[in-house]
Amino acid sequence: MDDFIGLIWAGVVSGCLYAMGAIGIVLIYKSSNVVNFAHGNLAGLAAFLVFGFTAGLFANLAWGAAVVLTLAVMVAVMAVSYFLIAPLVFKSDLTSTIATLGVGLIAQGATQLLFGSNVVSLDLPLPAWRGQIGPIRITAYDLAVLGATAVAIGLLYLLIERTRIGIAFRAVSANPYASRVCGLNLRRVHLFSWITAGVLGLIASLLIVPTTFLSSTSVSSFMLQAFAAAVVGGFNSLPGAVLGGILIGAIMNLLSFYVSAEFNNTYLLLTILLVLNVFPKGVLAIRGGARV
Amino acid sequence: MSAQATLDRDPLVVEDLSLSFGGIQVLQHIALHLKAGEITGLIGPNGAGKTSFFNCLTGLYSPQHGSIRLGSQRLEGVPPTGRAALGFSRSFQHVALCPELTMAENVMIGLDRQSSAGWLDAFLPLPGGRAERSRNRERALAALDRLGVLHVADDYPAQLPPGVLRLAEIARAIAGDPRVLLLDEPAAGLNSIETGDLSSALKRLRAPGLVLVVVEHDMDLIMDVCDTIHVLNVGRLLASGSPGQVRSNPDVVRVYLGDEDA
Amino acid sequence: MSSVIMSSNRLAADAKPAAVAAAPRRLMAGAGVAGVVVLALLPLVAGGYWTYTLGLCFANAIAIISVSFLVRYGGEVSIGHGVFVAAGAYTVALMEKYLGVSLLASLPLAAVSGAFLGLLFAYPSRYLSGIYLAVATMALALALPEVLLHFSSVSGGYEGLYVKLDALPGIAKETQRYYLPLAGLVAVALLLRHFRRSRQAMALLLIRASPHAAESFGVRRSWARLSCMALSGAIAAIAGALLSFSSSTVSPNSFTLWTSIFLLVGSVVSLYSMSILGSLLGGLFLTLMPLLLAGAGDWVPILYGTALLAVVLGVNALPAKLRARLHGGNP
Repeated sequence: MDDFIGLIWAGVVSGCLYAMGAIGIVLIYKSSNVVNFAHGNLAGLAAFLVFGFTAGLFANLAWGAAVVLTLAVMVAVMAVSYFLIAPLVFKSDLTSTIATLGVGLIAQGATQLLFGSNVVSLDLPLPAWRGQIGPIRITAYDLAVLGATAVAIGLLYLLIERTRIGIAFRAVSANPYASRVCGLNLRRVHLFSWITAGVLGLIASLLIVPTTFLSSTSVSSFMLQAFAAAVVGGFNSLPGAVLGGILIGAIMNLLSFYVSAEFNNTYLLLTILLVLNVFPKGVLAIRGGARV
Repeated sequence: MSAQATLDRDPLVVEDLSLSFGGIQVLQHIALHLKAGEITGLIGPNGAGKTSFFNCLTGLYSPQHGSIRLGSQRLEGVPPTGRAALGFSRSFQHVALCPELTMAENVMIGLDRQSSAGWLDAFLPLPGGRAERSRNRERALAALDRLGVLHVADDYPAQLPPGVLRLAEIARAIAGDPRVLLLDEPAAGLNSIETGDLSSALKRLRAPGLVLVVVEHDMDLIMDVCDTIHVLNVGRLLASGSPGQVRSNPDVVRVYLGDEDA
Repeated sequence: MSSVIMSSNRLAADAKPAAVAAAPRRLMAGAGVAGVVVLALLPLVAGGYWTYTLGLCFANAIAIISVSFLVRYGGEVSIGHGVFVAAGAYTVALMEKYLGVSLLASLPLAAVSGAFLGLLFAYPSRYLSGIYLAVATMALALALPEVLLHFSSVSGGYEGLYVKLDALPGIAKETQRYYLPLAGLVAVALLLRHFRRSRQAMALLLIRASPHAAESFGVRRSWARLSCMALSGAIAAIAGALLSFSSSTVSPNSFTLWTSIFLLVGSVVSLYSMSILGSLLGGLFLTLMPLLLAGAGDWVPILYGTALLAVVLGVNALPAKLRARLHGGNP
């Protein structure tokens, strides 16, 4: 039983990471109906940039400064990515989604070019603290993840519910055509969601990397979990992305321990198929009707 | 042969049909007797429940209460694909043709459930499959001809005006010799010339073994074409009768037709 | 009656007569035949390197056709088709390993295994569509290496298996590995061309455009999805079988998620074509790019990505008819 609780705890922590990745994907999907398959590659590039700025490749900055600088770079990168596919966004969802694959490939290539096939470690500047509550072992890292996730989600919530751009985002995701008729600038809303997604992706990847090594493919390989989380929670739902992330994190951990650790992706496949058969559009999906 | 003929004249009988969606009563206690061999019209203001009624007939909606029978065959629980097998056929409010198929090919889909060409025939030019395909094409062309649009057989929907598309959609619905044909606002979006063509085409469709029901707002078309008219209002049956009777029914005039112009 | 003739005469002036629309199609068919003849004669002049590369290219073209098939007839995008290709490839390798038979015997079985795997995946995912289905295919693609590595005693693990048997006795190895994939490509293209005229194809196209209309004529959505995936899987497996024959090896490296994504890229580059020329274009793109860039490995993803963007954005600037093709429209 202790194992079980410990596994759930670890699952919730990693689930928060998947949730962060998933929110980035859902943000972009809600505003522009594009699935950003480049999310993982772009987040990975961001992590490498932080590494580059702290470890002497480009500069020898303090961690905080490196993150801020990377944030600035990522804002630019996300803006450029959006503008690359902008002509397609209004024409076809399928084609713009495929175009993001192109962006992802370029990001992957850029990462490989800049950093080679190095495998490096990038740790967070956290104190080496450990605690224990009952059967659950807690580290500073766990708290950092939970804290960062809570803060990010809280800020995002405020952004979407309380600011003008947030309201515009909600309008566009509910009905883009009507929003346009009311004079909202769709491009601005799209840009907002892309940049925000990029920031969230950076935070997520910085939180993931300490658990494994950083290589040109490590972040993107975690992206399947983020996509699974988004899909399971309902692709149109931000709270769904969070719920999906935690669910996926917990289920994966349990299956990995009790069944076998070899089949992570297979579990994901089975989980996706199972959940979507019971909840056709995800657990927290917004149900729609159809006119015949 | 006469037993077969009696079967073919089966009416579509609706008894005490009620349908609701989450508290909204869409249809209430509808009882209708739709005869074969004549054209029945279904009219009423928007929101009266006409399309919902059609959807119940074809199996897209399941009514909470009541029954639908084709002759002695009860239709509860039979899905749309099953009712297609029983001879139900319909057109839709919004043109539902495939833009990637020619008009003749679109009509041939009406014959799909009666066709038996298998997967082998699909990939290889075997004689059985080829023979069936040319038979189906003949029947499709005949259906298009019956509706007066044979000349567009090898054109694509994108190239044609809505009036022609609507006639072709009806051709698709009759290609398979259905027992029940439901037309949902066939004149929507058509100009007066096209509506005239539609009227003549519909009158030619009358057949002893066919229950033909038309939902329409265009009163000229309905009065011209129909033998019997039923009037729906707010989910209830308001009146039934011949065109003359319905036109002069004061309730119908008040609710729907308005003051008559001569 | 006369009013019908009047209104239609007005249209006839504007609408393209069917004969004119058929002319470009005949032109394409003629070009296709000429192209096949050229390819058939190519080994007489080209060296072994080219026949080997083109053999792979033909097999890749078939794999691309399988993805295009799912887009055109099923309206769905898959980034997991590498799994079905792998099914065909491993079937051939395993039948050689355990039964000692060559490609001629194992090719039909490979197609069946692809169809079976397609059905196996399609059944639990039959109500999924769009992004939900795409993510499921992504999971499928990532799950495959795990399964292959777990059963490594059978599948050869990381190293994979060899495919050494010649299919046709007496003919040189290089020649076979060129002409059999070419014959496969021509056969698949011709079969699909005939398929387009069939009632099943028409039903699939209608249910894509208007599900309710199709259902009211007896065409079921689950039937449509299962058929599309089974056929698409079978075509991909044929490609896999020929790939394993041409390259003489199979290993999990050849069937990663990137493989599946590149298949989709090839499909987009070929504008979802199911003809010989179109799919060859995609196949050439897929096969030649890594070879041309052999020295500059790190540039491959950037160039693929740029090429993909260039194609997608470039076609976007084209007239509406061709653009409709890019967005999965008119075959």
